[in-house]
Amino acid sequence: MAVAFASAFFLFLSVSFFLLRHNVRVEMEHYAKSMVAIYADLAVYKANDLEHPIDTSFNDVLSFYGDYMCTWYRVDYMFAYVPDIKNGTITYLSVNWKEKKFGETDEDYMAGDVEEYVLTEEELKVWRGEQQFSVAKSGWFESGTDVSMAVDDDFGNRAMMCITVSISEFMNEMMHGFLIAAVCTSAFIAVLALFLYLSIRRRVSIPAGNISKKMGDYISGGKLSKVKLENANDDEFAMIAQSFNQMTDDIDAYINNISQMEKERERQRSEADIASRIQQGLLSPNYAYLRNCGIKAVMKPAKSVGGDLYDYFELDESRTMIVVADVSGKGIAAAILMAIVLTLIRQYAKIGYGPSDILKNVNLTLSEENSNLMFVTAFVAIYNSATGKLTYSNAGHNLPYLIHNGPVRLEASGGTPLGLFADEEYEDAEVEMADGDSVFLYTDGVTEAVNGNGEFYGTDRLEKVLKETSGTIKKYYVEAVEESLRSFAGETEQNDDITMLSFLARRMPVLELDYDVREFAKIRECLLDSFLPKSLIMDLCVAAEECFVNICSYAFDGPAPEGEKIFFSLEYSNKVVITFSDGGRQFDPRRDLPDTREYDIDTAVGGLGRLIAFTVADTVDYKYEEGRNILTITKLLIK
Amino acid sequence: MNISKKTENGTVTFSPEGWLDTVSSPELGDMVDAVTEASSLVLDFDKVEYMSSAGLRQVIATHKKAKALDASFAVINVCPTVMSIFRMTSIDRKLDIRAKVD
Repeated sequence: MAVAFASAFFLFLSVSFFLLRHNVRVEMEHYAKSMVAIYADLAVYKANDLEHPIDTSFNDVLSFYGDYMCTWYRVDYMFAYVPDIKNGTITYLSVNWKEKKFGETDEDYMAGDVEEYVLTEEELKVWRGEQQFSVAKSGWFESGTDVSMAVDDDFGNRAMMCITVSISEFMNEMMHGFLIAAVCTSAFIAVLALFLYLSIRRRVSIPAGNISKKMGDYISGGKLSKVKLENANDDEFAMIAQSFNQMTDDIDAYINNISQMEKERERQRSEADIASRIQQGLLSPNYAYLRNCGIKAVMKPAKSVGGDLYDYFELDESRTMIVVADVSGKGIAAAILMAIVLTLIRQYAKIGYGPSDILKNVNLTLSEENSNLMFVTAFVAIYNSATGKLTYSNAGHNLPYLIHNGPVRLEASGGTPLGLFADEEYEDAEVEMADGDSVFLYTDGVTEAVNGNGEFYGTDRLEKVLKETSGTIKKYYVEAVEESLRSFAGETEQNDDITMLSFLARRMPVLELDYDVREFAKIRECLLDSFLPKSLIMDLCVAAEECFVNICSYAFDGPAPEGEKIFFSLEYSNKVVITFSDGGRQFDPRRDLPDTREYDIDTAVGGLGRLIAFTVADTVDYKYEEGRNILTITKLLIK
Repeated sequence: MNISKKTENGTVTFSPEGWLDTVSSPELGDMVDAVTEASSLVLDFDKVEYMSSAGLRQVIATHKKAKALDASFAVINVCPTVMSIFRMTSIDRKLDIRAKVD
C-alpha cells in the first residue's frame, strides 16, 4: 500500500516536473529571443552611433554588453560571428559567457578566431533573412536553448548574434517554489489521508467489521442479529447496513415461512397417515378363518392411501361374500370413493342382494352423482358352503382364478365398470367349488407391477406361481405371489395399489375327539393348517393342549362312556376363538389356579398347565350347559 | 420323539428334538429316570420348538433327579417360544435356564 502510494506520488512528481520543464523551456525561448534582440539592437545602435561597422574590431563594444548581460541577465553564452558559408567556417566577432569575469578576456575564444562550423538549416534561413530567429536545443539533457538572429548595421555588414540560456538558471528558482509547493501539497495530502482514514474507519471499516462478524456468527450457527446503525449516517455503508438489516428480517421471515411450511407438511403427512390408518381400518382383517372358509388378503397402496379394496363377511351360517375392487385414480380422492364403494357393497349385501344386484345398485348410486367420471372395477362373489356353489358377478374387473388342481380363470359374467352407465345390467354366474378349492382375486396392480427394467409382472408369472402353490399342502397363494412379486420387482417403486385375496372353501373344523391325550395330534394339525402366524399357533397349541389334557384327565373317573366325544372348534376373523365341549363332570378350570410366586416346584403337583393356558389366552370363558362343559379360549389378533 | 443322550466327564446331556408335549414328554422322563450316576445333568433344548406343561413337568422331574444324585442341573439353548413358558410359570427364576444365544 505504502509502496504503491509512494510510486504514485513519484510518478505524479515526475509528470509535474516535465510539464513544468516544458513550460520553463517555452518561457526560456521567449526570454532568449528578447535577450538576443536586445543584444542585436545594442550592437547595431552602438555600431551606427560609433560609426564603426560590426566586425572583429567591434569586439570591445559587444564584449561589454555581452559580459553585462551574461552577469546580470541569466545568459550562459553570448556570441556574434560572421559565417563563411562556402568554406564552412565562422569568424567570431565576440564571445562572452557567464563564468567569465567582467571585462576578462579568454585565450580560447577570441574575437577574430576562425572555427569550422557548418550552419544548420535554420541558421542558414536566418542568415539569408528568410526568418527572424533560429532556435535549437543544446547541451546536456537539452538543458540549453540556443537562439540566433541576424543583424545588419548601416555600413552593410551582417553578423549572427547568438545567445544560449540554460534551463538550470530558471529551474533553480522554479524548483525552489516547486519544492515548497510539493511539501505543502504532501502535508495537505497526508492530513487529508488521515482524515479519510478516520472517516472511512468510522463509516466503513467499523460497520463492515460489524456486519462481517454478524455474518460470521450466523454462518457458524448463531442467530442472525441486526447491525447497530450509527445515527444520521446516510452514506452507502449505512445503506449496506440497512440492506443487511433488511436481509436479516427477510431471512428470519423465510426461516419462519419454511418452518411453517414444514409444520404444514408434517401435518399433511400425519393426516395422510391417519387417512391411511382409517382406510386400513375400514378393511376387514387380512386373514380370517370363518365357519366355511379361510381368507388371506393384502392391500398395499402405491401412495399412503389407495383406491383398491378387498372385503369379505359372513352373510349367514353358510354364505360368505368376497369382494375385490379397484377405484380409478389414486390418493385421497380414490380413497374416499373406495370408502363409499366399500360401504355401499356391504349395505346392499346385508339387505340380501346377490352379486349382480349388488353391482347394479352400487353402479346406479355412483352413476347418479359422478361429475368427476371416476369409475370402479369390482368383482363380487358369494360362496354357499351348503351347496358348494360360488355365485359371482364382475364389473369390468380382472377375472379371478378358480384353483382346483391348477389356476383356471372364471368365465366372464357381468357388465361395465361401476359409475359409468346408470342403466347397465349385470349378470350372475355360478361355479362349483369342492372342499379345499381356492379362488384367487387380484387387482391389475399385481400383473402390472414393474421391475427395474420396466417389465410387467404379467399373468404368465402369476399363473405359474399359483400352479406351483396349488401343489403344496398349505394353500398360501397370497404369500407366494407376494414373495414372487418381491423378488421380481425388488426395490422398484410401484405405480399402482397391489391387492390380492385368496379364498379357501373349507368347512368349519369341528373335531370330534376321544378322551385320549394322543388325540391332541389332530388339534395340532388343525391349528398348523390355519392361516395364523407361527408364533401365535404355538401359543394357541399350548393353551389348547393344556385344556384338552385337563379334560381328558379329569372328565371321568374311569374310561369315557361309549360314543362320548370332546368337540373342538376353531374360528377366527378379528380374534381367534377355540371352543372345547365335553360331557364330563362339571369343572370350572378357572378355579384354584396356583400362584407362581408361592409355587414350590419340589412339592406342587398340577395346576401348572391351566396356569399356562390362562396366561397365553386373552380371555377364558366357561359355562355349563345341557350337561356339557363349554370352555372358550379367546386370543385377540393385532392387525 | 427323538432324544439323544451323551455322557462326558460325568456330565449327562439329553437333547430332545421337536415338540415336548403330553404325548412325547414321558419318553424324556423314562430316559432321565434311567440315569444312575452323574455329576451334572443337562437338557439341551436346541432342537425343542414347543413345550407344554407336560414338558415342563419333565424338566422339574429332571431337576429332582439331579438333586437326588447330588448333581448340578441346567437347561440350555432355550428358544424364545419355550422360554416364554418358563417365564410365565416363574420356573426360570428357580432353575438354571439358559436362553439360546444366536
